[in-house]
Amino acid sequence: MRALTEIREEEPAIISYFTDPRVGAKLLSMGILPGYPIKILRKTARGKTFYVKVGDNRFAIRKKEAACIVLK
Amino acid sequence: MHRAEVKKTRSKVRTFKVGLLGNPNCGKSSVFNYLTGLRQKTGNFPGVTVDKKTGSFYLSSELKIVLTDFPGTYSLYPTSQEERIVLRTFTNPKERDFPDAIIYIADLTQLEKHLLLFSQIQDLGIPMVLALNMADLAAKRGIQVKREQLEKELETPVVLISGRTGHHIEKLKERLKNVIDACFPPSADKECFKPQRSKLFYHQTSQEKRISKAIRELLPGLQSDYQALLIAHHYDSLPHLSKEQRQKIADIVEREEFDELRAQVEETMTRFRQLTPLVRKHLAKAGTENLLTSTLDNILTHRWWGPLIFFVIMLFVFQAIFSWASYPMDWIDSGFTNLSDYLARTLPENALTDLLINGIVAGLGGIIIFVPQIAILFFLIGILEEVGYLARVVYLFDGLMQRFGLSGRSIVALISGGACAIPAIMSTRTISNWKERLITILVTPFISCSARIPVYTVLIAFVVPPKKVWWIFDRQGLAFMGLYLIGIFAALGSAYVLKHILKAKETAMLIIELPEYRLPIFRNILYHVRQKVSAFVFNAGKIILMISILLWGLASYGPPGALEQARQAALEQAQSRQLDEQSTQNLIAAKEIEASYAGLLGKSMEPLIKPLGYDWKIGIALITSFAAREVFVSTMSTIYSIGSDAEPMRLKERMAQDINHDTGQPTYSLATAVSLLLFYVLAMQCMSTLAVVRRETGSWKWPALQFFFMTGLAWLVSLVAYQSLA
Repeated sequence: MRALTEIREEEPAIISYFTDPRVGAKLLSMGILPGYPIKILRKTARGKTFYVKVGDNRFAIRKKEAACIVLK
Repeated sequence: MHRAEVKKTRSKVRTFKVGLLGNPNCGKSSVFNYLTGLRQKTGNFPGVTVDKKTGSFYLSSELKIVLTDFPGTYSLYPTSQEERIVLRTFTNPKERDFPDAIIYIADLTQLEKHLLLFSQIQDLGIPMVLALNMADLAAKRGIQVKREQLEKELETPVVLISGRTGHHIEKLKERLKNVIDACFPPSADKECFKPQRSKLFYHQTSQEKRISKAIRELLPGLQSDYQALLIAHHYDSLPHLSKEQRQKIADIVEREEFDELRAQVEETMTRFRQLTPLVRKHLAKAGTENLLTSTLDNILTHRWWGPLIFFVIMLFVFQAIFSWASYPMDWIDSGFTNLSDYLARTLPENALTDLLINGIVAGLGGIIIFVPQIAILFFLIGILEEVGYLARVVYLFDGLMQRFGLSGRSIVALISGGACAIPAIMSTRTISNWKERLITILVTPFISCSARIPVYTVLIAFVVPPKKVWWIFDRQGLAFMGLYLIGIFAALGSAYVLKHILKAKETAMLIIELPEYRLPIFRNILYHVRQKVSAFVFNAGKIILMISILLWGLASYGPPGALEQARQAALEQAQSRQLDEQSTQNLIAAKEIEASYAGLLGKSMEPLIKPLGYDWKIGIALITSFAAREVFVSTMSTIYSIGSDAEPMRLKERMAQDINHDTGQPTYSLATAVSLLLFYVLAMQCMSTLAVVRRETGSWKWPALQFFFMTGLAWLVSLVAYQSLA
């Protein structure tokens, strides 16, 4: 069980579940769902914000929220 | 007779309210522009300050549609104020904006995600037409959709459109007409409510059913169980419920031990479990990735190049505002000068002519002269937004902004603040965290707005000689950039202070979509520019014109006999100094205005501003600037043109000639000009902004804090600057 914060850039992974219900609800409403492939494309200079790709869609999320995403 | 006929035909016209709905970035606004053309107006949703665009069009000579553009929304579980509007409207069938039917826009290239809200609306039972946008783009990328099957399965008319080219917009209208004719037959006296789809996307659990039933008994006007369920989730933030109703709903929910968040997640998952296979079945993807977006983002969102490119882009934006706008501004300026000359030559010399030339025409000129700058800024920001670049800026700067207690989204407000703090402060509604939003609101007015540009222009032209430094950059442009930087530092510095003072209500989050890069649709940007410019001319412009006329009055009249006395005194002084005719006239004019009401007002505040190097004339301008900063220039113009019998000259030249009659030194020294520039960078001098802050924060506490903090800082900084330079 790894969180999204624990994988390297460009490393493919699959979303398993979300630990924080509030963050999870927001992610779901934006179409980021368990079972979807996820990948960190890049991070900002200080590593506080992630540029992620979920399926074909691109999102920016904070490290704090990324920690709520548990991978398979 | 003819009139009666017209009236008769008019009474046959049936009007329906249609809502335009969809996710953010679905291309809703281009469809809105296509459907309504120039028949648009902007207002507010009731009780809140979220912009509501409405427009109208006819489906036939007897069928009129009033179209409301709802804010872009992901789901009926809102996380921002804009999204909350949609929920509020759709849970209250009695609301004025509650639509009879909906045009739902979904991006065909991201259909699955965009159908979530669609499925929620369908469970509410509101008749819909589904418009699949970006059909041209999808076709290019090899995405094929089985429209008819999709239509059958969703039991909703589906149209493939392109908001870019206007493709199939007529077909969309045709399908909308079919839906309205079917749901609201002209023969029926009473409208009958019948859901469009025979089955629901989400079947409630037995617990949810009990809750919905209880709520529907409490609120008999509701149209569907799903509406009741949404109320069970959000009753706390729905203004249309009475306190008593809220309490009763709270009791119901508590009695059932309803776990809202879990239910929300379960509902959303259930919806996607149906949408995912549905989309897979009816949509064939060739699987080509958007290489353009990936390639561009490799550079534009690069950890080092990204921020650097952003600053270069901003530099060009400011350079454009400063240099491109100068041509139309010169034409406007000389146009108004010629008009004043012409009026002065042809009209009889009396107080009314004077009012017309120095009050009204001067005031109008002071408004129109900003149009080029505002238009250029909104045009350029509009392009950045349309191509999808602004979302990248949010990504790049979120980390930095967080250190100052702001959100990445704040950067959009801070940049828009470069045009005008008012729309910028209104744009903070997309920031869901209250503390981040409040700090953004409080510091945004530090960013130099376009109203400061004319003040900067006049004063920079005064202290910095124009000289090319490198390529297209000249010294004045760089000085201009420097003033903007001071404003940015002040904004971030005070944000940092506020971050440690203010308390947070909830933890903040940021999850935003980075849309694919697209070519901008210039029609959309031009509509946007037109809307902003007319808002400025008709709203801010009204105040500026009124102030201009008021000032003319203050400067032309004084206490009884005071002007006559001043004239005599000036004449005696001129004789004893043996001045020539021209200098005598100037002296008389200067003494007269000094004795006027305006002069008295300026003088009464002189003790407060003298340490900053300002005289009473600047004092008047500071007072009137509170209506809007740009009034500084028109105030100064009014004051100087009234004091002049010669041809109207440009303000800069008049100020350069202005001599302090007590000291014999020029009024505008380097120290005064620098001190004044800093004052205008930092002071809170805009009553419209304060009014908007009051509206957005719901309390006078915040605008009051903002006023004293900003103006106090401005006074101190200007004091230090003047005293060390003088």
